[in-house]
Amino acid sequence: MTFSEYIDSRSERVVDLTIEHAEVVLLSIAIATVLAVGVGIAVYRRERAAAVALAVAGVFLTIPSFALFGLLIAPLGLGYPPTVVALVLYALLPILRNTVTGLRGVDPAVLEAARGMGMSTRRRLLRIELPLAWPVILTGIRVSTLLSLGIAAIAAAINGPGLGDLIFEGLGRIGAVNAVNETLAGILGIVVLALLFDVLFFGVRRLTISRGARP
Amino acid sequence: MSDPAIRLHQLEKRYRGQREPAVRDLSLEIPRGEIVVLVGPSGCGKSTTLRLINRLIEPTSGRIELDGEDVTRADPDALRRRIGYVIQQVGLFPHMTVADNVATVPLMLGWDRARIAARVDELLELVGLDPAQYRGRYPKELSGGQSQRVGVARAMAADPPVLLMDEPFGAIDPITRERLQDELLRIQADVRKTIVMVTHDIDEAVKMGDRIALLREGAQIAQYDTPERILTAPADRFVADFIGSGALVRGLTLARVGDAELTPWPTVDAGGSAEEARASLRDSGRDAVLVLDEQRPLRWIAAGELGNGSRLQELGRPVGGVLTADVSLHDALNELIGSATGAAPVVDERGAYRGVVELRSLSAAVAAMRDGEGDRSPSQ
Repeated sequence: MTFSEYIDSRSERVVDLTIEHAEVVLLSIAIATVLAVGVGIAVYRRERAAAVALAVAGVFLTIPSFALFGLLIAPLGLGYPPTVVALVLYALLPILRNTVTGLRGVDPAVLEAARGMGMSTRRRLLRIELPLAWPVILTGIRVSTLLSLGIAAIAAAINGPGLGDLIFEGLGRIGAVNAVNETLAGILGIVVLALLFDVLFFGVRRLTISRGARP
Repeated sequence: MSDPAIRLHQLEKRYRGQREPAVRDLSLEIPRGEIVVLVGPSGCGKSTTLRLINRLIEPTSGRIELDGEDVTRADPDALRRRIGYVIQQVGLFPHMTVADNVATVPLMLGWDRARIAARVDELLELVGLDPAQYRGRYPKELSGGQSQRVGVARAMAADPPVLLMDEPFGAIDPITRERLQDELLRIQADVRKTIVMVTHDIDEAVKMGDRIALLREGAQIAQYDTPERILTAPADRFVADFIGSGALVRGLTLARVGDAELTPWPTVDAGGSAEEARASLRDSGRDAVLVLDEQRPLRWIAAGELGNGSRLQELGRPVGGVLTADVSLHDALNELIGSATGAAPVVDERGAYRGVVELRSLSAAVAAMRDGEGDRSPSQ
């Protein structure tokens, strides 16, 4: 069976797994964005706190993914929960680092003017700093998303959702009929998702970044 | 000074780890509706002083009064919405349009949409930007001068009685700077805000200020006076050094021919004779006569040139420039230096001769500035 014949015959399963894959990545990225942007806002003005937060997020990223998924079985069991937690931990660093960089990169003169006009700290953050840091933060989110698309495949090792299923199954019975096709289908799904997400991010950029703040 | 708009009372600002306070025991009253310029060498604390007024820097001790109200402990954000603030780098919000930038404070004050839109257009008009053309632009689409115009409009959006300006024209090329200075003076003649402006440029201070506070280190007031007095009667060596050379000549830019006393001069009508000219000269003690043609200054004729028989129109030299009441004494001095007789004729609006200005008149004008009590009206 050629690869295209294989895809034809298993299209339903491949599409289902692709959707699952996209869902778990999007959910994880959403959670990671809330956490990382929140932490970023809390620490960006404080040198020490920012260094600590970035170091911690950096440690998460260095743990081998296979090991982290495995370690999370004990507290969280199998399937969805440990997958999401692991993906969130991996996604933190790029978003956090870009949040801190973005917020610190706002022109001091702009902040001085905002303060001088009587904008409260909160209002400055919401109206000025976050919108101006947003392009940088969004880039961090995009990096984390692409990272998570790949790492999410490992989740299949702990019965997690997504295209990892195809990859692990195929690799597990390599030499058997369609084993390679199965693995390739998994990889292809992830690549297609990555391209789709890139288009998505392009759209989000256009919609959420003011013409004045675009470089 | 009764009822000043801003009163600073024994203000002090100390920074931790610094032995000398940045601002030491500063008391200053800013009269309502005037432009007061804080000027001094860099590091003298003039910007710090400005930022103490809207409490971007909190004073270590002392009191700030705005319109007689002690605002030293008031909510700083509410305070700042009552005070316009303009800085050298402008600090427009790059992600917002010009209109949204200008609307910042009115929006915070809860104005309705229609009122804000009307106000934005009114202000853009005031600062010389066509609303239809500029309202939807982003800051990166503006030149430096246009940006600062928007900066000024933004600061005046909610019609605050007080404007603070920190080197507002410092980053702008000299030609545009001069134009913006002139326009601010024009706007000020209309709106009569209380403006406190910081600059390190004494010429800008002289041009813009109704009063100048010349500060030395620690925001110590070296002299607080009208520009005329600062230029003609510097309080001490520090002030004199800061002003630099030619202070009195520069002071002449601040007075007009109309302010100076005119001196009579021997004249003769163009249709008259040499005899009449000699008669006119005889008792005056002058050595040249001014020929008038239907009241208009025509020629200078020196005593020795009054020959016999020739018509007066053909003798002597033509009058160079004539002065009118609105010419600055600085320009009058220029005219005098070029005049062979040491006098320059002054005419009224119809061109009719009124008298002459001499070097002596300028000296008298400088003396008057020196003696002035510093109550120059803001319109000048």
